[in-house]
Amino acid sequence: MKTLFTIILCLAAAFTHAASPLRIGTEPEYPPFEFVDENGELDGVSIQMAEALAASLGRPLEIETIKFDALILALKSGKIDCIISSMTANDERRKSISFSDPYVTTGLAMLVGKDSTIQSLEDLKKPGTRIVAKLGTTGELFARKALPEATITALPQDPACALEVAQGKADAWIYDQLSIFHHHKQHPKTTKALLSPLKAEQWAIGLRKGDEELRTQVNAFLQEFRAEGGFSKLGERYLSEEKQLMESAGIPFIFDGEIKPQTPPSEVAQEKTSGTLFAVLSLFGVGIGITALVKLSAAPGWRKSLPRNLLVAAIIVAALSGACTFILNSLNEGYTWNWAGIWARRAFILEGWLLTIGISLAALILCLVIGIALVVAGRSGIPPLAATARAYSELVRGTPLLVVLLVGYYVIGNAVGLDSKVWVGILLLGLFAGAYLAEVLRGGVESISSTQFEAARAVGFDRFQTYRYVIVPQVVRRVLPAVAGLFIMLVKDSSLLSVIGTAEFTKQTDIARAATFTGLEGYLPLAVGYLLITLPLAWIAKKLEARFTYES
Amino acid sequence: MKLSFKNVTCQFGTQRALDDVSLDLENDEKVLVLIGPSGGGKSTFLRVLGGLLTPTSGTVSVAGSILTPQGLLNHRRANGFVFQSFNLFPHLTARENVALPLEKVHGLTPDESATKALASLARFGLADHAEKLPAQLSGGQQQRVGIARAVAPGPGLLILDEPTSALDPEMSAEVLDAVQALAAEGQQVILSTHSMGFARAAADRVLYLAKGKIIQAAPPKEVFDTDPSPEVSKFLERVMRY
Repeated sequence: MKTLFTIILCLAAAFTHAASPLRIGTEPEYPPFEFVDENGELDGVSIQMAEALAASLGRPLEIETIKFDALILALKSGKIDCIISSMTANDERRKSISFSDPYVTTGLAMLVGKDSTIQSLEDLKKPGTRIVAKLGTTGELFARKALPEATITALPQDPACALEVAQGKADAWIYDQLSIFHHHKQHPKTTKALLSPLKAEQWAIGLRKGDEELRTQVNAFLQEFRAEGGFSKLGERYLSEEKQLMESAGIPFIFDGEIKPQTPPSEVAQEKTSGTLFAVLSLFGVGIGITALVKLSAAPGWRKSLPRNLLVAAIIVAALSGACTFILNSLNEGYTWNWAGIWARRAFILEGWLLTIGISLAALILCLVIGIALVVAGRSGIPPLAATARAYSELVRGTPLLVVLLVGYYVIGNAVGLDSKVWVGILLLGLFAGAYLAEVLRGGVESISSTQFEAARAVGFDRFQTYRYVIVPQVVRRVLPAVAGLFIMLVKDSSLLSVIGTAEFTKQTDIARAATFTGLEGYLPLAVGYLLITLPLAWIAKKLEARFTYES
Repeated sequence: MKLSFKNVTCQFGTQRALDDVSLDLENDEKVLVLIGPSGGGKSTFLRVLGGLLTPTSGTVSVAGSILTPQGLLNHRRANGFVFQSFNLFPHLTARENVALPLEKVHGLTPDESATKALASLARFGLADHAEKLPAQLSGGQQQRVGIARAVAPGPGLLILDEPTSALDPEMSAEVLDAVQALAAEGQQVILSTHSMGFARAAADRVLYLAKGKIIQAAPPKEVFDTDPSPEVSKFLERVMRY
């Protein structure tokens, strides 16, 4: 009986093991290594490798496409088993995950302006040199370490980095050789590619710490694949042009670099998770508790039956904390917390938070000016003016803010010579939100009965007095909740400025998060930071509403 | 009351609210009452007279001066207007409703405006309600605030457009008492009403308006008793039946 049970158990284990798919994460935005072909299918060197790896392990393959700087989070939280996404194996990343033996040797190169005098790394060390890098890449890490005097901007997308250099907004983009080569081909008239490596790098397959079984299997596969000529075939198929170019420049082709034996993963001290968990939970607990108490104290019947209300409040808080504990606990099993990195960068993140407040305030004022101007123009009774105002509102409201920001910064900003990411950000955010505010205000004015206008005229008010003393005070009361909502949206929308590289809260947190290869440790402070701005806004709006109430 | 309409027409789309109306009043009448069916042109007549509406064609003159588009603001400032639906400013208290035009339009200081507003409210029995918002007042009280607001600056002409139509009979009486008291003090009053009793008792002259035309303009005794035109007789028969 006992043996039978053991056999069944072994069979079951073998069966589930064989059937469990190999989940590989990649960001298909890096041709020819990982990309989406014209039929919408994933293709490239990494994809071919993934297929060969899954086949050699005898496991079905599942490919998850994930943003590059979220790949490590996905791996740590157990969403995927390994990363094949042209990821450089470096010590910073080794603090969070482990790597297989390397399979590609490449180096960081530079994209500079066509007429740039920059020749080498030394030329970048001058103070005030403007460097761009893709967020979370080794190019960014290298720039931050090697070029402390330079101004470094990290952007989330490759084409934006290339445009920065092409338009002369940045002096150099530091990225891997192949990317620099390809982006130079996109902007041949405005850029120059300097391919000799600033720093050698090796790419490897990312693995979860402690998953030694898979690591051994992957290393065995890589050795076998190389011996079989798998990499040579992939090189011929996907990179023949690059191979020729690199060989003619005397740089070894990426698959032919010297493969150093992989050093065993250095054990980096990890924070104890229980302390972190406690910190996160107390954060949630305090947050929920404060919010609940504020809401409760505002309720009219609160004091009448204090004990009962306290009991109910305690039960609700306990239930919510229980739910949080459960959710975070289940996450915690596969997640190693690393708060030290984020904490070390707190001043950097705080700078971003303060800038977000500044940008939001300035954009809010601009938004008010534009919103009011649009309403006045719309109601001016001058047909071309009114039509223009209405067309503006409709066009802007029908366009995603992301597009407004990218087009506004790279096209319009470039055309008028406005380079400051902060001012462009404020301007675009204000212009965008102004269109929404105009609609809210217009709705408010139109909701005022025409008899109010007539009554104001009857008592002798002129047009300005009518608005000043009769219409506006009533409109303010009616639109206050909607306007407060709009302002809160504006604060949160300011996070989108990170796409053009404004050093605001989200951007700074992203940089810190990418630099430390953490995930939730970056997102949780982000949530708290925005709440610290939006909750007071909501509170002020509530107070104002109460003050302006006139309907019993 | 010196009042003259010359070929006044008011057109809204295809509808003629006033159809070539001419009228000359040069007598010492104090109270002019407009009666007639709904949609007959009473409101339009009063709005033109009050400077709230510019007629499509024709000229209107009040107290000897002809109304021009440029002069409408001053004309409105010189006269008072009371609406059927009160049209108080809902975000202001009764006192502020009366005081704000005094201060901003008639150039009184805030103190003078407040004092005058309180006096005007007291005159209509609203001394205890001065600090209430319109939403806290009854319909009759709101309409009396409306009258106080129109009267406080000392208007040449007080125009009331069906001031009691939104009120029950008891509140109507409150309001009509106030109007009659004003007339007794020498205020020139023009109002439209469905209260034939008030027209008969208070009017110096009654105007019957229907389909945008003045059918009869005569002292109340003539209109109601001795010599009503055939159309007026039919109207009176209908409204007096119940």
